[in-house]
Amino acid sequence: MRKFLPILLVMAGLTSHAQTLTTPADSVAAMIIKDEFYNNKPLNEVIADLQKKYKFKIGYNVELLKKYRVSYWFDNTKLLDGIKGTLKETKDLTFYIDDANVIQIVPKTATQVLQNARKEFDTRYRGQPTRTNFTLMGKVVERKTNESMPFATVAVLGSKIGVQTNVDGYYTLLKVPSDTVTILVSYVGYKNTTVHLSPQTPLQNFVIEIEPGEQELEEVMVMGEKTEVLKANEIVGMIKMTPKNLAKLPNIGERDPFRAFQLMPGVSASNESSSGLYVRGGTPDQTLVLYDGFTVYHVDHLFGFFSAFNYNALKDIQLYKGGFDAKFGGRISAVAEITGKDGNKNQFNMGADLSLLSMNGFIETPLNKKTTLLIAARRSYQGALYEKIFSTFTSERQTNVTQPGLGGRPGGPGRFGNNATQDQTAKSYFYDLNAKLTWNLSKKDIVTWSLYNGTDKMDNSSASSFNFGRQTIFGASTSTNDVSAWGNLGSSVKWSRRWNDKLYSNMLVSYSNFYSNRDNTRSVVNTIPATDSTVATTRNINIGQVETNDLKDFTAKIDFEYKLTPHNQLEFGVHATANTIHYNYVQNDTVNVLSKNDKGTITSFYVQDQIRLLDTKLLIKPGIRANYFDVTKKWYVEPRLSATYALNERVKLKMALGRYYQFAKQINREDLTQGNRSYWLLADGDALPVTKSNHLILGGSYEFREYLVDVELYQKNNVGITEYTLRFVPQIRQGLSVQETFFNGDETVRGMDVLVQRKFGKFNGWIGYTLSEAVRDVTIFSERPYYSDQDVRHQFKFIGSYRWKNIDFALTQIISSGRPYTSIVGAYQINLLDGSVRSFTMPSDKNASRFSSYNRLDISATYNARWGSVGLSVFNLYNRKNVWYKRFEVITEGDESVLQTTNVNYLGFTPNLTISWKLR
Amino acid sequence: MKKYIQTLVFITGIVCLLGSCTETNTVVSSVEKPVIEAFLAPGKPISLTLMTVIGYSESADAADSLARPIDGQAIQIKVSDGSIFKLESVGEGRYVSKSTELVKFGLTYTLDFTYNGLPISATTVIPTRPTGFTLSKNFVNRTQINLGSGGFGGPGGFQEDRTPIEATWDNPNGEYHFIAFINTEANPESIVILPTDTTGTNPFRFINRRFNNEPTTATVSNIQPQSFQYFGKHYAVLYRLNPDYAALYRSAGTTTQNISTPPTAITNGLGIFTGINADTLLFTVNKY
Repeated sequence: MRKFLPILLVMAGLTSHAQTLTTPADSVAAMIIKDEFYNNKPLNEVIADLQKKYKFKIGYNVELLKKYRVSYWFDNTKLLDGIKGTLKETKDLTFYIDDANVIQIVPKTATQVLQNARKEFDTRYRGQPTRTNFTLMGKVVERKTNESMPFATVAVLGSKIGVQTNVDGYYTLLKVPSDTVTILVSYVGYKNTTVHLSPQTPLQNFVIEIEPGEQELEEVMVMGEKTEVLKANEIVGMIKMTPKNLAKLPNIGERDPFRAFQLMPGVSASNESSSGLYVRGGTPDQTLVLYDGFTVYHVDHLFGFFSAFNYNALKDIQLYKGGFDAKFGGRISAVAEITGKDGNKNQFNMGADLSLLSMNGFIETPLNKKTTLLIAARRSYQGALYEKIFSTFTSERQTNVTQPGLGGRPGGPGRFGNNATQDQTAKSYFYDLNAKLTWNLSKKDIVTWSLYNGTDKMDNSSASSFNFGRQTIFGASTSTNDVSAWGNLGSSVKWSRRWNDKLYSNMLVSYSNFYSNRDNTRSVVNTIPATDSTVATTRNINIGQVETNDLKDFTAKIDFEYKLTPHNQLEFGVHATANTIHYNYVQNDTVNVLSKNDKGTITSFYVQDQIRLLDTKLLIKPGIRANYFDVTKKWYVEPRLSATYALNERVKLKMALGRYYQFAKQINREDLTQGNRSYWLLADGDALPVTKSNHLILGGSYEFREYLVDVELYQKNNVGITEYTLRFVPQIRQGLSVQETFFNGDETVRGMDVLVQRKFGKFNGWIGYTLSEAVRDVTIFSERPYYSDQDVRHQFKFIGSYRWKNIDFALTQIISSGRPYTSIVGAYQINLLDGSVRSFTMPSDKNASRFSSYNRLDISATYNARWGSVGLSVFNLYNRKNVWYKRFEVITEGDESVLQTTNVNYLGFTPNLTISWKLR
Repeated sequence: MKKYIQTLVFITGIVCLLGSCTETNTVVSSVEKPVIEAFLAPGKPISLTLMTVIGYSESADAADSLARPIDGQAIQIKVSDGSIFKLESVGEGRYVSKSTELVKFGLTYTLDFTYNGLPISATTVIPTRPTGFTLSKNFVNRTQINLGSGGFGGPGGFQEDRTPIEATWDNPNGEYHFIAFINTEANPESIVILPTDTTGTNPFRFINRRFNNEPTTATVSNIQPQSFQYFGKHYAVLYRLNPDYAALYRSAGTTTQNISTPPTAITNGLGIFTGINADTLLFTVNKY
């Protein structure tokens, strides 16, 4: 392996160099061979053919190459990559590029020649620099599509100078010492790329191309940084992901970036019914999800089994697990910042995925020199897998429709034995659409328009009718509506401008709408036939509940980045968000249990400074965010601070602290059997307080060889968390006051995340462990503090990946403590005033019991081909029955009474097949 | 290398610091809580029932699956006029005050005793008597339906009176009210004669055997003539209630996700200890 290193270095250097300079000799390296197929041909013939067709020279010894036959397909392949691939098959040949830019094929044993070649290469730029201490500006793009790469690291090799590209892929390196240095670009999921500067290098718009990394899972995610490379990426508690590599992880129907985040320590992996991010003891609504700048309020598809994000449309995702920058606000737990793909700027491309659950397709194309378009869409179809998930999440619900308000049960179909019919017209689907238009107006201006639209519709309605007796004496028909529909519509227009080498701005206006409608009603029509003295009558009764939630968000933002010095970057901006939130919950047609219409505007100002001190060993980022909330007419000030100290090359210490406020919050309605819907409300500062959280994070990382060990400890103190319940209301009735149903309290979350990662090699992956505790103190539920619903003590994750030829194997194992729940410990009966007897069950203290532990093993194999891939996954391989919730039934016989407990489980053994195809 | 070890030790130290315990809930055996049932009506002595909770255990049959009477407790009730009623245990879990110790409206009654070492207490006020109670009619005609003879008895059952009986009352303060019809016949005759089915799969079980009115804060309630089960004389009783009684009608959850806390105003106990007041009218169900 070591032998190869110099070659690779030479190649990488040359390749990237070649793209940026235009000397004639470089054309060899830049040459792309469109389509040549050699099937078991003598190597000599292959080389001769290539030389002839493409007019370049290769130095080789005919005698030496005589015994080799090779097969290789050049398919838009760079010449050098092709030669490398061709020689790989021979096992003992390699090549180097001599000073005349001629490819020389030599046996691997010729170490002396290779070493000399390397020296030769190194001396290539020993010429005198012509420019010193200059500013280098440009863009990092992907080679194949010309797509800009956000948050990539650009550093001057061997110096302390390094920056991160901004969201549009731009970088500015201030005070580059000379124009003969080497620039190193790294980006998760991509090969590290080195570019040698030369006196010819343009200092403005210097475009650096990077290429997707080979196959290692290492590139799916890297937490934190590699010491020598990601200098500018030293952010506490951050995880970064390139969605394109998700294909290599086991999946259940959809390649889901949020499910992948759940494999990292600190993000809970045991909530199958929510793809939301439970980050460090927080709930999903406490995580800010930004998609191309607009907030997405609800991320679930299909009962939360998948997230709303289509990986084909995504370019980059960053997740901050806490202690995040002043740039972000309005949430107390975490931030997921998603950047959509711009689309291929070079040529038209398209692709499609077909799984047992959905169809997914995308097109990306340049429209003209300056404009690109990407459209990605997917839709579920009711295949076997869809049905399985659907029934897992609905069966319990269907059998448990209750009829509040009526003493007797109207009796379901079939009970009467005679003439009962039932028609079930279940019709359910989800779809989503992503579109993005990018205009590169000038070298300084980019305008993008991004659209996201997604909808879930779950229709489980049925109609039944029955006749009573041989003749039609009584007649009744019932129709049950059981429809849930929810979705998002979001759009943003962003204008980015690079004013000069120091100032960059982003202006954005966006709209985001989340709606959720749930109609779970049953209308019963009773027909009583005419008799001698009466006319026929029909009675119409509506029972059940209707719930609607509609949230609108209008946001305008302006963000600035200003580089004061190479080691000091100032960021500041103004955000304004106007929220309109409606919520309505009606029972039995008439009882309006809760109706809220909230309006509020949050105006925020922030400033943060990123400073490198102590010879760049220390990075500190102080910041402050001030929010004015017009509902409470108060200012909310959030000081933030994060710091990283590199003790040496391998050991790094990290910390972050800050204060966070949340104004719009999601309340979980404690009633899942009839359709769990959490809904959004806006704080009013009184019955619904603005939630406040203080974070403290301490951590460190240690890197040795191919391993990374990362430990972070955290504590969050939340004030003003809200729980909603109808359980303390004497009677469900019209116009319940907010004080009767919303209860507020405090919460303390603390824990530790440990990550041990093997970043390189054929076998790689990581082990994640989280120890945490989330304790709530809401007096009405319990005099003592109790564990929060999402509290999980231990969570262990193992993710391993192995590559064999063209096949990636992956395995994920999750072992987690059970979540807490409230059980029933007893029962009693009371004689009522009308002589009837009513039974009551007695729950334990709030969340005093725990479900059995959650564990699950998923495996996958993905075959990679030029045209795409075929992936086979198995979810929950050993068919573990993980408890979702428990259902209690009291069986009373005479004066004896027993409790029957039924576990309602999550999804069992489920295989899936995904076929992906792409044009390029 | 030593540095790293030091770092690790430092980190471990913090872990231990953060990992120290917080006291949170553990399951306490709620079975020890007694269940109290007492309705305090003006002009009557106090009668109170004391039972154990039926214990449930998810694991074993260790818990008692029967509610058992608790006798022999020293229970007293303090009245806001300064008097103290000492209740006498008369067996089967029942406790009664002396026949001279009568409940008066407007006063506050406080239950006080110790059970299993825990002080049990509850307080209630006796509501004022409801006023303006009227019924839209004082009788209703019903036809007897014999389901036991096979078939459905013909359409004759539909010729009877189907106009609802409207009960109204005054309720300026939005208090809870509840209507009950109590048959006063010594041997009441059933309106619906049910088939004698011993197989246990009686298809007619859905028929209402009793009223299922719920407490309401309204001033009117409609009673369907079909609700009556028996012919003969009835008391139509309008109760004025405290909210803790109304809470008994709230539906209880059946899963870990919607489980509800039983409504009670009793400290360290379960059940109901509440004052009621009532007005009564007479009502007749005629056999037609």
